[in-house]
Amino acid sequence: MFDAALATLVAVWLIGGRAIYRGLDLDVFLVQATAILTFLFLSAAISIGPLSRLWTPAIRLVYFRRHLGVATWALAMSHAAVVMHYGNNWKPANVLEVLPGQKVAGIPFTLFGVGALVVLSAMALTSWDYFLHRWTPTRWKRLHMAVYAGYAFVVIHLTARYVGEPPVGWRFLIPFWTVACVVGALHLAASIKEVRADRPAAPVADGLILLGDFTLLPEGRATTAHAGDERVAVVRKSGTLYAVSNVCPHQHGPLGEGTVRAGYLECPWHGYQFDPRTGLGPPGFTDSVSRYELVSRGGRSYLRLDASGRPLVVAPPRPA
Amino acid sequence: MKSLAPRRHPVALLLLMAVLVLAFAFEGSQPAHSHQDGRPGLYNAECPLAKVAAMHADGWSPPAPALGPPVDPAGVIVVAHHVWAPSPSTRFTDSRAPPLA
Repeated sequence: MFDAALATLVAVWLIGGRAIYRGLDLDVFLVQATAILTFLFLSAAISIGPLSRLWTPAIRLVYFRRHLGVATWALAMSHAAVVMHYGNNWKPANVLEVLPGQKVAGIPFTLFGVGALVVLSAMALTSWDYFLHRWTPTRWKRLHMAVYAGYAFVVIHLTARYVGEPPVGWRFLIPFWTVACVVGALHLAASIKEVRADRPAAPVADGLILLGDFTLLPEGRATTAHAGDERVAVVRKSGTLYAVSNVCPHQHGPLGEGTVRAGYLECPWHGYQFDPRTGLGPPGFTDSVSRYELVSRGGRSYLRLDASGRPLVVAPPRPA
Repeated sequence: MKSLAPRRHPVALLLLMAVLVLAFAFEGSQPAHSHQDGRPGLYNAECPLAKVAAMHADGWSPPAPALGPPVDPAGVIVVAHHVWAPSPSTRFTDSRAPPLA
């Protein structure tokens, strides 16, 4: 469904844009159209993460993030192909021929585009679950942080392209920079929110740490609590509160922002499910999350800590 | 365990619509850029690259540097370096520019 919507958007953009902007030569239009959509797709893809932390409904977008990323790469490849065909006659050396003002630190703006394409290609080619499982989610996500370098390359690429060619196209550059600044502001705001939420609660006696008051947590819903530097998903199922690790083992999605579906706490990012009573996945699946012991006292919920001060993990029940 | 994809996509469609609107707005804000004669653009007569290309036209050469005093070649040890030199056949218009005529 989302992929069909993406394809429709690209088609509408190319056909509709060509119909509206008939004054441009076809090659000029194709170069600009693929560049603009690549930039906007990439901006949207890297904004989904922080947006989902700031605006709860946006968490559904995380499911489509990889689709959007791969579509971005396909558009970037199209842009490179159009530029090489119309602008450089498929001669790689011609990529270096730019106006003097279109260089940043002596580097032609085109090379920043090449750099972005290399990064996006690496991201797209390793976006499959095969690499996710082979490298573990932690390493896979660390590698995919390179997308920010790719975004920086794109911003430099387009900025140098337009600033370096007189007359400077401010009508394009100002909204372009505005979008880039909005992307940066979203990341900053999400980081501030995360840091504020991560303030640890003070431990109390008896090896317990206060998580909070969850008496108003509705049935089938979850929320995120903080026990020291550990995030915990607190979920109510069949009237009982349970605590499991907030980190989904698939891509480290926030289980505390999921909901209970068919008896399982479902990660909002990609729909991975775990039984809050045991931390185990449905029958036939081997992945699981840590489950912690919750203690209720006077309407408040506490988490039991182990000797090292970390949440005490409750062993899942042995299979019958 | 992976479940089905989200059944409703209002936020996703909202995002895509926003991208489409922005794309049209961006395209409309692009500087005029055409190959056609008499119109502003990167590859026509008003373009800086066209001026660069004109300098590379037949017969043009950079100003000759002032000559120093003659040197006896017999007294000079010449060390041949393998240095890069620009290809005389490379022109800015070779690939980037369509025929201007």
